[in-house]
Amino acid sequence: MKELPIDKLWQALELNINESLLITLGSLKLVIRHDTKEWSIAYEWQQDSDDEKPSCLLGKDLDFTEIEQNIHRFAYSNNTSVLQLRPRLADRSVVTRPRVPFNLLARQRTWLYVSTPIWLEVVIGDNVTLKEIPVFRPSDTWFGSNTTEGEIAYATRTHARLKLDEISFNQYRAITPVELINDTEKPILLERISLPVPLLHLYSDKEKNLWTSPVSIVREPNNGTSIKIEPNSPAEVTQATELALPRQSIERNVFTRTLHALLG
Amino acid sequence: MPQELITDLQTLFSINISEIFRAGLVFLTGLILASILSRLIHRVVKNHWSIHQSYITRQAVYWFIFVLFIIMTLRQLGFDLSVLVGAAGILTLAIGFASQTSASNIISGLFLLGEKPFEVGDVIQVDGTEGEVISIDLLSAKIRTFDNLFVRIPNETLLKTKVITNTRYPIRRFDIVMGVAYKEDMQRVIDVLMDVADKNPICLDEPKPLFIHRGFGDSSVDFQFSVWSTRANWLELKNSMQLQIKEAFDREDIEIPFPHRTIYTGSTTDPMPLEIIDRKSPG
Repeated sequence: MKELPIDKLWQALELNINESLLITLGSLKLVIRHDTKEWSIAYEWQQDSDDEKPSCLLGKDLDFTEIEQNIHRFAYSNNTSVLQLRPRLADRSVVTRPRVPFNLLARQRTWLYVSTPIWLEVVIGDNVTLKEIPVFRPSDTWFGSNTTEGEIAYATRTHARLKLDEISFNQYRAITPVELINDTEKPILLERISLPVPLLHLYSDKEKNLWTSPVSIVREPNNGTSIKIEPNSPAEVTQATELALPRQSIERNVFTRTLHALLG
Repeated sequence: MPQELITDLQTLFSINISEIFRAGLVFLTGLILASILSRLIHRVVKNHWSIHQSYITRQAVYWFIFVLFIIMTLRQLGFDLSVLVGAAGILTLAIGFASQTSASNIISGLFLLGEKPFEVGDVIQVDGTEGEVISIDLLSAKIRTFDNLFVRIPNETLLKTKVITNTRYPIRRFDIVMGVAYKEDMQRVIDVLMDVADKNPICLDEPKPLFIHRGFGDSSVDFQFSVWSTRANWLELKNSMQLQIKEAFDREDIEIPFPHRTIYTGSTTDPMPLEIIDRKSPG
């Protein structure tokens, strides 16, 4: 078995027949195995292992039996040993709640940094996707003004850091700089934010930290909320490399969410 | 003689071979046209209307054109349709009396078509029957129950009784009604329940899980814990939440009591006297 450097995680590698790859990233333990005309994936999320150091081991006959659930087999007859893990952003909007709600005063603006978990896309050969797996399974939540109209989203908690130097970076969460603008005459209590994550680009900086396109959310005088997504990398990022395109495209980068609880 | 017989027959029925041929052609044309037009209209409307509506439209177009060409065929054959009109009036009256229920079902079906309380594929509860709607027809709706039984429900019943559509909205709530022993710290119980809900990924973060105190029961403090999930995950939520609550209560030593009665001898401090008799030994 040999350990692969974790900073080369997103690069393509060779996984020959009878070889396996074991990746530990956040709470995700993922094993990928290449057999004759077959690829297998097994994964599980471990409790309370967020602080575990990410690792990537390549070896022959790594044991699958420890993982009892989430085993998937793929028949694939083409001769390829090329395997690549690609980071992707969430496939739904992410509703994030500050651990402690805070007030944004009238006619004020602020920046805050919200992190969301990434998905690992397992790709073999010539761009053939086997599976996408989140580094941890976020909780489902409902985002809407009532229980009959809205959308299913993911829920996360955030420290909602206002300062960049308070952010703790890791390889499995992407940071979204969010500009909040209160254009009304009253303060707004920020209890939750819905980020349209499928519309964001994913970047990495020179330290291999993950970032998304910046987002501006404006609470307008008529109590409506508009959201603007910048199609470029955040200003905080130097030497940005684009890792993934948005899952969904929008015709214009400014749109108004009719759901009044975009900011709640 | 045979020729005279044929001539007499033709005179009697006022028809000839060419008219029969023309009538046959009209009939065939009607058949083909009805089929083609109904399919064409179905293709046009199916992307805009529901399965039920496009099916009814297709059937209506087909039968309208077909009946029209039947009438044209009969006229071609020389039948005097005014007689038929008179007979049809009497027949309609008779059929009307006989088919009140069927007519009611048809009209109820049309109302249901406009109101659309449910569609094919929805899961509904009506009159004690729960299942998936597999078709909505002129006279009745057909339902497949979860134990794979076929149930036919008249449209009149659907219009007159309460129908619950389980699959109308994208999320659904599950209420867990239970009780814990009087000795338990209720705030600790609430914390344990909320922790179970928080750790279950299919339990929606919002709407938030809800704890409702239902009262002081005979044997337990009763409450309701309501959690939400997507419609698709509802059954999994129902099973997983109850199992996980049981496990958490066992782990935290929180008692779910059996029904019990406490017997007092008249004073809470004096114990009740108890004598054990060995049945095997004499006396």
